[in-house]
Amino acid sequence: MERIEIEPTSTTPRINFRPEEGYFEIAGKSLPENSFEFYKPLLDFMEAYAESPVKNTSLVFKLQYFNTSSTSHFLRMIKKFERITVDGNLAVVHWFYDEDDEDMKEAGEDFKVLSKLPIEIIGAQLD
Amino acid sequence: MTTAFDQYQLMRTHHLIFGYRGTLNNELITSILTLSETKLKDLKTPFKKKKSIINILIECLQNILYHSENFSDGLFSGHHCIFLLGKREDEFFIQIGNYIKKNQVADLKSKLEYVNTLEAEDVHKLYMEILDKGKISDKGGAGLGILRVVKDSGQKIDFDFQPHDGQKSFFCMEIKVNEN
Repeated sequence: MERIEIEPTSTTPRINFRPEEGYFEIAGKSLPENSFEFYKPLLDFMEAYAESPVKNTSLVFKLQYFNTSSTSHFLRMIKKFERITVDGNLAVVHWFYDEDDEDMKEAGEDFKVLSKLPIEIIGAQLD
Repeated sequence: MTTAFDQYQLMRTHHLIFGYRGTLNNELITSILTLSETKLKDLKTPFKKKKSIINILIECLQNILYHSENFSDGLFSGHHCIFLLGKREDEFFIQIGNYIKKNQVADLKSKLEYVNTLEAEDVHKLYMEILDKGKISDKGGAGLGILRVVKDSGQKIDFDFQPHDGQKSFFCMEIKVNEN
């Protein structure tokens, strides 16, 4: 599979998907007017990857702001990778939040409740 | 003639920090968010409250793009709205207004009345339920956006509908956020 690298805009996040390393990162602001249009191709890509993943997969979120329609897509992304673990491979979500940003921390905790994947919630100094 | 000084005094007496009237698109929303964030930083707003206000603005302003009725004032045609951010003593307020179809009034009114009855923990519970199922709950019928607004505000939403003509009403909403 080819890598996907999308530069951030004022309303869409930076996308850095490196399937050969099992590394999938979404970073920045996610406020697309049409979140389906932005996330659908990425979700399709992740679904195809989940068919034949590498041994260890990491789904990394480093977000500042997102709208609620993006939230539903993040949950879909996480759920796409739940199937990876069925065949004995590993998949982990790394949910980074800015140390001051309680709201982003709570959003990670919400996903933890709704997902079977392990979700590590990590406070850090984000750009 | 109303002078700039009159307008300045009017904004000051109404405790306004920043306001916008006109049509809206996603690019303008981004500019409004940037300007609002800068003003909130200047006011040394605690991070948590600044984040809540920006989250509310994201949902409310994008909601206008999705659900408002187009209107033309002779100069601009599109998603007309008014947006005001202000601060009275220790409370921020966000006032939003836009045109909607008259036949949407009853449904929107009942959604807002419903979310206003919910306690904070019920708001979060319903939010999680809708997020998990990816569809509207049988219990409420409210969407994720409005629940996030209520969650971030921590207070009831004030709202009103002004009849405009046979087809349209002007929907007004005020959302408050305590400073501390």
